[in-house]
Amino acid sequence: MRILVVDDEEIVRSLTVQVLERAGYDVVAVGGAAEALAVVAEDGIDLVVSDVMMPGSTGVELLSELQRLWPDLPVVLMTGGSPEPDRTARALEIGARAIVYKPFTHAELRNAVEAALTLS
Amino acid sequence: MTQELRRFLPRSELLDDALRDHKGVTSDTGPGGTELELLGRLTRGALHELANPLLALTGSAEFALADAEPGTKLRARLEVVHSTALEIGELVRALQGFIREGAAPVRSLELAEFGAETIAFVRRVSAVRDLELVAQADAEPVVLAAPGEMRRRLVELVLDGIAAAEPGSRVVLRVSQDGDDAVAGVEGIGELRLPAETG
Repeated sequence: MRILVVDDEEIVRSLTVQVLERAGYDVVAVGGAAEALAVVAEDGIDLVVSDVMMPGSTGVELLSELQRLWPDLPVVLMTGGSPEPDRTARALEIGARAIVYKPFTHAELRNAVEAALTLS
Repeated sequence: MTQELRRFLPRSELLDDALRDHKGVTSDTGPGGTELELLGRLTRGALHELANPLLALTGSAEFALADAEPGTKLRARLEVVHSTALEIGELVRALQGFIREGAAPVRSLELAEFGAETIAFVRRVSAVRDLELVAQADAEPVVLAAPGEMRRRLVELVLDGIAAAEPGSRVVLRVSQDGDDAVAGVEGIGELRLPAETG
């Protein structure tokens, strides 16, 4: 299983990658939505784990674009509790498979990813 | 006070300072805003800013713990770092949940369960050490309500109860049913009445 991690914060990106690699996944990571779309188009990704609040396009906008282009690609969103709480509700409405709230434990992230892959 | 010095002040001191400065000018923050509303908006941003550093702390500590030899001083210290960070994380997530709930639509709520969650929330986020906070259910009514508004009203009742309570005493959030009404109240403080759903 190949997972794409999208987060503009290097430390969070690095930790997320390590947790998923230790869980046995093949993981690639990028820092923003535009790079994420390019990687998904080229690399054959099975699941995307993306932050919500990022400069430029948000995780919800990325989710929306991924849903439009690859409707079957599961997406898990990570959020630190958006200052605009409506965003997370909207993310579920438009197709996020799961939302994990920061600061999450390793197990919470692994469980969310496993659940999203199982659902798909 | 210079910006450099202010960086090292405890957060509560900074907030007190900001409120004191602000009160000297006006009690209003401008059109449609009060001090508490402004504080709420700042807190939302601060909670969001805390999430990534806390994730870095808890996540790194979890990795370090996995690598540390059992029974060593290093492991013991890492356990303290990890558990403390998790505790702060729980507090942050509880407040994030409270904010998210504000946007949730009206739905059926089991008031006894909701009251127990409210007590757990207040216990988690308030600095109450010398009072016992208790949720008591004499009935299990269901009401139709907006969860955010309901939570806010119950939290206000409990906090008012805490403010009025003697050290060493109890603050009880009691849920009951009075005829067709569901009632949630703190004795001596006030109560909230809503029509109970039937069937």
